[in-house]
Amino acid sequence: MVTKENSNAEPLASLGRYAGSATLILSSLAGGDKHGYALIKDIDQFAGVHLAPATLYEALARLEQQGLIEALASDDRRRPYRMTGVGATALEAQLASQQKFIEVGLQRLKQRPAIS
Amino acid sequence: MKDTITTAAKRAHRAVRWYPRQWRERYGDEFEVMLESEISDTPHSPARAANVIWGGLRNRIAYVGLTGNVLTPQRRSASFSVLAICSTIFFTFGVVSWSKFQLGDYRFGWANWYGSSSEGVINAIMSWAFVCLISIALLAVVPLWLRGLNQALHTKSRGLMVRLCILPLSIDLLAWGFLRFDAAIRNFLQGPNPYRANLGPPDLVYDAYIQVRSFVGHPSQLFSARPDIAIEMWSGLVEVLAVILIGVGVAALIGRVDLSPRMIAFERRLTQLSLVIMGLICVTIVAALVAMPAQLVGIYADQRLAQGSVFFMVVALLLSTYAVGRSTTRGAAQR
Repeated sequence: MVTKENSNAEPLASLGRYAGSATLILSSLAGGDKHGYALIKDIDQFAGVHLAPATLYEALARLEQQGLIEALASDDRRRPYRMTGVGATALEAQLASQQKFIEVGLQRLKQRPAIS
Repeated sequence: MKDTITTAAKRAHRAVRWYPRQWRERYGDEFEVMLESEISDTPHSPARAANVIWGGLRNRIAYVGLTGNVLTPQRRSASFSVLAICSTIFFTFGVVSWSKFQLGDYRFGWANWYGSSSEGVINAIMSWAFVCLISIALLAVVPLWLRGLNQALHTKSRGLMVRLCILPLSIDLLAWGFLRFDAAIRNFLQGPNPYRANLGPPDLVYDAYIQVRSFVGHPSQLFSARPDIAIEMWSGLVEVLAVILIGVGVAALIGRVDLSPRMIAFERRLTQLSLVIMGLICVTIVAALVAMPAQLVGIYADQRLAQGSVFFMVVALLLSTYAVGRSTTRGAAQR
């Protein structure tokens, strides 16, 4: 069973196939509270990925269930979301693990013998 | 511009209806207004439509307790393997059952060369409709029924017990009514046939015996009730393939979706029903053996449609659900 405790221990990986979407959503929310449509637009702009509506809300539901984000009250029909402290920690761990293999990949590319 | 917004709002409102009520109460409003913006930006997107429909269906499955949690790939593989084994048992009985439908007036036959072309079409339509009916009923409803049964046993709620009995009776009556409807169509198109008339519930036990006997007595002729007629084997084979195809679809669906904590808890309680399920199987087999003397009084298999096949399929799938649940529960307890 997925719990808040093991979600911190395995940064976002416990979300299975929603981990990628979750990382994008949390990265977007790191820049400020946003509602669903704003999230789609922001992610499209900084990552070049267009999240489909159902995919977005399935990821939002899981993130909210795990306590990584929280829904804010709103006067209109659009409900903004905010990243929680737990979410920020999980995002930081996730990005750190990704940065490591990015650095390894880039380094190996530099060391690769040139092909004439 | 105003008309465009209104159209987008209407389309968004319709799209949200794919989702279950509980989901709509929480997310419906914000999802609808987001969809409205998306539709205004990009009026036509088949990918978006497919994504919304698929998301709605997945949520509907989740709200009946079949998904909602993330299992490790190992547990998912284990559950899938168990289901595959149990499905094999299920299909074995299904093969015998479906081959029994070939007796008499060839009621179910995909590639049936006998009779007129209209009968071939009717065969195909009736076969697939029947398979879909049983598949939907068993996959979507049986786990809920078992949970309710367990709850009723604990709370001793008579009302709940009565409502729970409605489901298996409804499945059996629907199947029986379906077959009678099929008989009525054939009688109308091809004239009355006494072999199509007798489809009563009393055939159940004897049909079960016929299936057990044919499977045990003719294991090499599994696809045909009459080995001397080769074409019947091929038409039975096509039905086997149809059953397997549907079973693979069911197994793939369960293999892809995740079992929710609620489902895991339910499956734990299902272990309490294991003796009941095994008892049902034993009673069926014993009853079938007791029915053997029926043949001495002139009751032949040719006059029967295997209504018992419905019963066998229900029991076999209950066993499959139980086995899958045990495997999943064991895995969850170990984590």
